[in-house]
Amino acid sequence: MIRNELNYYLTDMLSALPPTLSDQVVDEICAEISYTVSKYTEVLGFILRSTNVRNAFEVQYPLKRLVAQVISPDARLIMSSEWNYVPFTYPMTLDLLPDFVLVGAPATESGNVLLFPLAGHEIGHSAWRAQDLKSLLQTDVSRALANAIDADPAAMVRVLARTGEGLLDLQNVVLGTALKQLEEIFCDLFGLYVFGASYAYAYEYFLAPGGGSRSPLYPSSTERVGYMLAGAKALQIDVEPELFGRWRQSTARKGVDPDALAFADEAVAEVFPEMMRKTFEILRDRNVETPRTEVVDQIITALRSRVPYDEGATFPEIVTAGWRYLRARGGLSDLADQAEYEMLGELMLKSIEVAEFRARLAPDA
Amino acid sequence: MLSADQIADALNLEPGHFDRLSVVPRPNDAALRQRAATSIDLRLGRWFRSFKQTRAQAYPLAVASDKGLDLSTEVSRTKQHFVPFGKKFVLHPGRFVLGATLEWLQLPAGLSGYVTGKSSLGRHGLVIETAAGIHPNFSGCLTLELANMGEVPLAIYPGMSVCQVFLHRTTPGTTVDLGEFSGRRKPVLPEPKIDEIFSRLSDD
Repeated sequence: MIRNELNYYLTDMLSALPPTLSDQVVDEICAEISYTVSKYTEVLGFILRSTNVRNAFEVQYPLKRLVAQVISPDARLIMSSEWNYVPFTYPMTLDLLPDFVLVGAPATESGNVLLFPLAGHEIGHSAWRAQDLKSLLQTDVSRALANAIDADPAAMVRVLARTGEGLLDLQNVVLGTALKQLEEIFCDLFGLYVFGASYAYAYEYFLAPGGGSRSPLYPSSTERVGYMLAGAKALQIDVEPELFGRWRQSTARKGVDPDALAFADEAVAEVFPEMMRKTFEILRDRNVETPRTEVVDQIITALRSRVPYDEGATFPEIVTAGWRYLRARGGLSDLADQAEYEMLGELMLKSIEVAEFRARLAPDA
Repeated sequence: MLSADQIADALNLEPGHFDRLSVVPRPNDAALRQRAATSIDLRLGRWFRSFKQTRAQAYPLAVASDKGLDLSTEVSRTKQHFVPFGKKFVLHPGRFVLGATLEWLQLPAGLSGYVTGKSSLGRHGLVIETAAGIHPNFSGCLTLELANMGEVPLAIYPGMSVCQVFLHRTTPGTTVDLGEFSGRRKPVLPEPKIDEIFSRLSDD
């Protein structure tokens, strides 16, 4: 597929250019082709790195089953890594590979199973599209947005004066912003439902201490955590209150209109309860299990005994137990704790492999 | 040497019991007793480590001092492979690869063991494990040395029954287990350790 497209650009298109064409036009076409090639090299690099043995291949089986359950039985999963310390850089279904879900970890931590709950967020993006949540929520968000604007006409006047846009244009822009924010919150709720407390722990590990520059397409760092904790409460997930205690607020980027952003934030806050209900309903309808507390406790007992768990737990249960063990041991971040930390990773991955072994032997496999 | 019933009894002890034997995934209790053999069959895992061809004249297996120590590590000398269930690893005649058991073993202080190959595989030329002792308190997947001594390539598969372990009662000592967190799921290739006696023997 890639070869065909490159052939089209490099052979058919370039060779068909008439000699009378100006250098400027040829340069423009060449730049376009270079951009296309660079787009493919990123994806090809990602696919190539999926075979690297630093990856935790044991995780492939349970993640693939999750993707089949929540997106489509025909969906295919590529697990790989990126050299940027940004996990999961191809979160959404690529137009180039419509049936594939690409999940990537930072290369330096591609074998760190504790980070994998964040894959729940990225698979959530594909689920958002597959379930067409945008269409489902659009009416609610539009109504909430109209309420927010009606409630503060002075702010509306300020935005219109600053941006020079009409009211309809403003509503469309803010609607898009609010929907993108809701998509991110949906993905957090998705990760939380599937991975339980381990999602919150992995999120905190990866993004602490919050703060930084805020993209308008995301809720602010503290609001996002607030939505996540509300989700945890609704799911009766036990997350320590101090986990995000020192979390810092992010600041909006320059050029983002504060009143327009406030309208989007208000609309998001109004729609959130209904979206959370829909999110959990979708996952329940798909028979996605939440981690079972009693099984997590049994796994922790096995980890303390330095043996993998043998009773066929789910991947989220194993990684939740791993996080709880790690936190009970104070993080195991000292040099003296390195051996125990490495052993914990080995025990979790072996437990995941044993769960696959059991699942493959099950009568309904 | 432990009988089938004794092995099954050791596996059935409560978690945390000082004499408990762990094999994960655990063998079927009834099948183990019914077979009445004095060993547990173990399966081949999915991780392998093969050796790279090298320009070095020889790799030293004993080290007298840290002077002139060959700094090549298991990472640089070997290549890892992961083979999914249902796929095969082809071992060519005369070639050697490290594998690991699918099962994670944890021996109590009162048990030690020996790993041996299976005659049914050995007759095809597959030789398994030449350094077979398992010490008390061992925890982890066993690294297996796999060599094809036959004349035709052999396909080996993760999940296949590949070796067996015999267990013996040992009088537990009082020494502390220093390898508490040493268990690994992949085949490991330790570097040679500096040996003081060998070092003095090697002095000019």
